[in-house]
Amino acid sequence: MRNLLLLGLVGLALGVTLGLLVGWVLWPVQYTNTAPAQLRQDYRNDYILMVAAAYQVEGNPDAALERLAQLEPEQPTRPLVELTETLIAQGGRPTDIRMLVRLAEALGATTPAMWPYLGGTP
Amino acid sequence: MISRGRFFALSLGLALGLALGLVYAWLIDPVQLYNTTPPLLRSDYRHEWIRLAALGYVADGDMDRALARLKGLREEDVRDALAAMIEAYAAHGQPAPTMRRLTELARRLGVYTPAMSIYLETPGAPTGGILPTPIPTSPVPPVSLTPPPPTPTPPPVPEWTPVPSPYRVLSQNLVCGGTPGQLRVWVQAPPPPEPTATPSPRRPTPTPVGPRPLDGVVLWLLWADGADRAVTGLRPWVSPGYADFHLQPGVFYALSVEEPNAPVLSGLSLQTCPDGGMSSWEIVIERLPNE
Repeated sequence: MRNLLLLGLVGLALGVTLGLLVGWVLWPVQYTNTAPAQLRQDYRNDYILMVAAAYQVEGNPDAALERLAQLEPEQPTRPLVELTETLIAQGGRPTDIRMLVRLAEALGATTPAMWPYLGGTP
Repeated sequence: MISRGRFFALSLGLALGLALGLVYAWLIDPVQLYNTTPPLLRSDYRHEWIRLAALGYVADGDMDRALARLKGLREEDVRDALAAMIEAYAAHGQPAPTMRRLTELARRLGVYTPAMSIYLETPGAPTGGILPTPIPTSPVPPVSLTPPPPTPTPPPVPEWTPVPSPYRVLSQNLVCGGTPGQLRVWVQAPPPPEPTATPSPRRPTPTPVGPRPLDGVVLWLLWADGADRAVTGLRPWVSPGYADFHLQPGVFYALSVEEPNAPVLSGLSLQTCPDGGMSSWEIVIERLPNE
């Protein structure tokens, strides 16, 4: 009887292991309806750049803020500020930086690193 | 040799464990994806991504970058989102440079909408304006209620190639009073030709038939920095062939029917009325009889 119980537990352990292997690795849940917040970092950066470009074309800060909130609802401007400062530090495309700074200015999220792109200190 | 009881215990444990493992892995703690790509976005976010990529191209003019941003997305999604965007932008009269960029991207992606026609005619050309004085393409002379004031320097003539229009301006009147700053247009078909046979003394003379208002006709209003579109028949209480536009002072407009590059009238602008208010235009357009 004790041997049977032991075998049952061994089977259970093997089964759980197999189930986790199948469920997490071999055949995981497929997500097809994801949100911008779940995008890979390079796509998130692209998304922020496109939001800044859209602001340049449309001139609508509310729409831009709403779009940024898709990435971080609590602090929508944080990803914008982070990317802008990163590009400034890394010497990114000046046109991109200018678009990002313009949007940051419209949303009241400028930082000292952005001042040279604002045409003067605030 | 494993006994039957032991085999049963092992199998039962295995089956139970597998079930528990799958429930945990699929339902309780499924794989969380934080590194997704645009094609995996929900449909509305995907369309938003496409719109943003197009606006990115409008802003920076980098075609390679725009195409890279759209890579991997379904062609139907890209086509639908871009076509809807261009139509909406044209309907809202977005600036010509914006429309031109969108059209360039759309053309590159094999997208075509009627609103693109005017911008496809002007590859890369800077926008021109419209002639300063109303010039109907039909021989009907304009009738003005007030003498037009001196006109400002005309902007350059647009570079698109006009095509013959199957419509002509029947009358155009500058109107003071009523709603100012409007362009009111009536589109009609000519009355049917009268019978040539001599009326019989026994039969009554047929009642003359007037022109027939045409509904569903697309009108294009074009100016230096944009375009607007209207369709006749949306205000049937005025007339089934009626449509109107709002005009801005100091802007010169061209009016086309059906196609944006088939103008029937150009150089249209608002004038100041004797009472200091803005005028409106009332224009009657007639479809030419079929040859």
